Amino acid sequence: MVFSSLPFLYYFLPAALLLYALAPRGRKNAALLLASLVFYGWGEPKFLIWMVLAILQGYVSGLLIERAEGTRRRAYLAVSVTLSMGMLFCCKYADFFIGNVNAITGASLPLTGIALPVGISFYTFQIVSYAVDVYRGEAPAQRSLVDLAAYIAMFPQLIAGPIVRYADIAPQLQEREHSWEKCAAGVRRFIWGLGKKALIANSLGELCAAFKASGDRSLLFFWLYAVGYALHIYFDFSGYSDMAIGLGKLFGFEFRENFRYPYVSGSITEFWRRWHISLGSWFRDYVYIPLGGNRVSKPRWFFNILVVWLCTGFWHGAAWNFVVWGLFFGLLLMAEKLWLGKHLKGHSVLSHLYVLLAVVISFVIFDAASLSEAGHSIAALFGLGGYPLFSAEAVYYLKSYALLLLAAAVGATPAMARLCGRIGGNERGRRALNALEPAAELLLLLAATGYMVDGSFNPFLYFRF
Amino acid sequence: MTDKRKNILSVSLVAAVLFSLALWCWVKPADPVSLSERRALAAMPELSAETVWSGKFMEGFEKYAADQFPLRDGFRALKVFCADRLLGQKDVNGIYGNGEGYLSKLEYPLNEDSLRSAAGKFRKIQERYLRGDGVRVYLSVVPDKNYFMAGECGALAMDYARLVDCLRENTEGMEYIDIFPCLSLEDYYKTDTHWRQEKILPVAEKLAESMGAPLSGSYETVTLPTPFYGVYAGQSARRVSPEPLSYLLNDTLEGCTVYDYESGEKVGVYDMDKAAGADAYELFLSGSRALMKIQNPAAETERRLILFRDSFGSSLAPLLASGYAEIDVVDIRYISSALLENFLTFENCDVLFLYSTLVLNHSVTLK
Repeated sequence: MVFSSLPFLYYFLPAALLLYALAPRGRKNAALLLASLVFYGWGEPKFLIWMVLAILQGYVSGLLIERAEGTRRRAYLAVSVTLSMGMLFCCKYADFFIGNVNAITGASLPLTGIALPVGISFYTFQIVSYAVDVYRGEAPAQRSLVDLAAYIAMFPQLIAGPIVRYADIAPQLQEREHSWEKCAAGVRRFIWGLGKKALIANSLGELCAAFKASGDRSLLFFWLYAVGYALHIYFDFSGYSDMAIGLGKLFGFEFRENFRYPYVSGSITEFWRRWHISLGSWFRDYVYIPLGGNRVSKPRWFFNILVVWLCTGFWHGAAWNFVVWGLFFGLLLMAEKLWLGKHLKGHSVLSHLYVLLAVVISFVIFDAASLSEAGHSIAALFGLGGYPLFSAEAVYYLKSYALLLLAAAVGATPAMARLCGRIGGNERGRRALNALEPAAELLLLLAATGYMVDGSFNPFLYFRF
Repeated sequence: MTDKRKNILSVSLVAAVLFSLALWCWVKPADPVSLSERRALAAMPELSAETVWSGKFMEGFEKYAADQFPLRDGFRALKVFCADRLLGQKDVNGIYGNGEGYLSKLEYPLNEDSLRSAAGKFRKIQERYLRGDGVRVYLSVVPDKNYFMAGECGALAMDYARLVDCLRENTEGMEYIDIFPCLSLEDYYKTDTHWRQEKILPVAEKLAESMGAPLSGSYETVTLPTPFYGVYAGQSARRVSPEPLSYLLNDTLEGCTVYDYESGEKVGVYDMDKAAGADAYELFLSGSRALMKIQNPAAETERRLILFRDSFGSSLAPLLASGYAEIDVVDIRYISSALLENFLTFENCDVLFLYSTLVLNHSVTLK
């Protein structure tokens, strides 16, 4: 079930909210868990078994790690992480490795054919986060299986993040505030995210689909696709994160921000501080720093960076284009640390153009079905594909999507937020904005519903991770 | 407005809409069909342990929820308003308008494989049936509305010249009759794919003249009392005005008999039951029918015509009646061409393949 679907919005969510509201204070986590299990089981009930096993493993491991000391404590952590990552490996990566072994050696090892459980990459990382946080003593082990399961299975962030760290959420599992203010902030955030997904991301997705179906490609069309896809993935994923954060607030939780206008970054280093923040910080805290971070020799430092970005790419999917995508960012980050970063400072326009170009190219790699397709598309972007400058289709889609692309480009910057901040800077402006905001939210909800009624099923991009 | 009031109003408004529509979804009886979209709507899937475990229930429920949503047409119209007016998209779900009420669906790109396949099917019929004495074979193409609208609206359109060339290159032995110059956008319904019968007399005359069977007589235009909404009216979810649907009548047509091979019954040239149905255009020769024979007892000739056609031919065939004693109207989308010898003879007749660009570009439907 996706948030931007009618079954979620008009069947599941009202029922879940009612269940949660009616549950007594001590049973709210149980109500949330029940709703989350229904939510997760809706798409593929069989995958519930995987998730329940993962939760049980996390629960037992947490208790064992806390009680043990010394080597045994470390061993329990190693077993827990191995089990979690092993399950992720079996479901997500086994066939990739078997396929590559077959391709290299000419062997014909059978593929496992295991389907990828939705959201496994997210909840696996949360379980690892729990085990490590308990091991480090940053959070106590959770005694209540229901509370731990509510954390791991929590439907607002279960299948596409943000990755919520146990240490952040543990106090909120015991005690959290519910207020009109928080509820209104949640509603606002959720509807804003819904609008980003239903109105902008899905429409840009149609543009990308039109490009892929076209037999009339040109240089202009390649750029239209590349820019459209970069905006599409931002609005799709950040829209989902907005909805997740908004839903979290409705159930009393505060999740960390996952996006902070990444396309205004002046370097790739800054971009990754603004894009999928929860994933970046997870890799920083649980991989990069344990490897030694930057407090090591320079070669080792760069090795650490490459390992982290290899993992980041691989986390996104079991395919070579994701690996190359991760390494592409790793190399850029190393270049910035070595010399490029110094040159970017003081060249505001150039540095922004560099980031936008790098990010657009990276998402062409990300979206490619194969490395050769990625190479072909990137070559075409630079006029090396033998395509004409423009084509009838490219011109048509440019005209048709110009306004949407412009709106998306502006929406990807803090310009609107700053404008609202300025208007709301004085009492009169703030009152005017306060009067408009509820009406705007209502209209956005109705418009998004219109898109959902008219449109077909549009799964979120990050569901496959 | 204070922050506190705003927060209360925000939550109350959204909750009111969310819970009201949710309640409506739960209690609303399911509609079997959508009249505006002319299709059956998804029904509630069967709920059982097996369907839940396999995920079929959820899959069906997604479709059910979208199809049975309260105020479905209104919400679709809101989406079209946002995409069309606010975001300036040139088409919504492939449908675009010219600002004067004419709607059309993008038909792009040209599918030459489909054209060659259609031509191959025509040639197969020609080789199998049309090699006898006195058989003259003609070919004509009906342009769809995009031919007239796309350029003006900046929409994508097929290369129509290439379409005709490709078809002609692959239909040797068939004489091509060009009817494109006889038509303009006003000859089509604003909200439907089809042409208006009262506007295509020049087309009928051009075809008949080219086949050496001049037409005679004049017609009275009769307009249906009910307003007509074409297929794009519902599909587009735009606010459109109804338009009149007219048919032509004279003594010759009133004297004609029409035999429907499928039902084995004699029917009228115009089917008034269909005129009152969901698609009033089916009034012409009862709509989708595999094989029909129009007999004109008042004909001053013994000539026969076999018309291979799609739905555009339904409204045209009656206008050719005055030039022929018999017209066999064949739609090979609904009958295999291999079966035709069981019903038709192919000697001493004119044969016309009359197909729209829409069918030619998707000729997989031809049998």
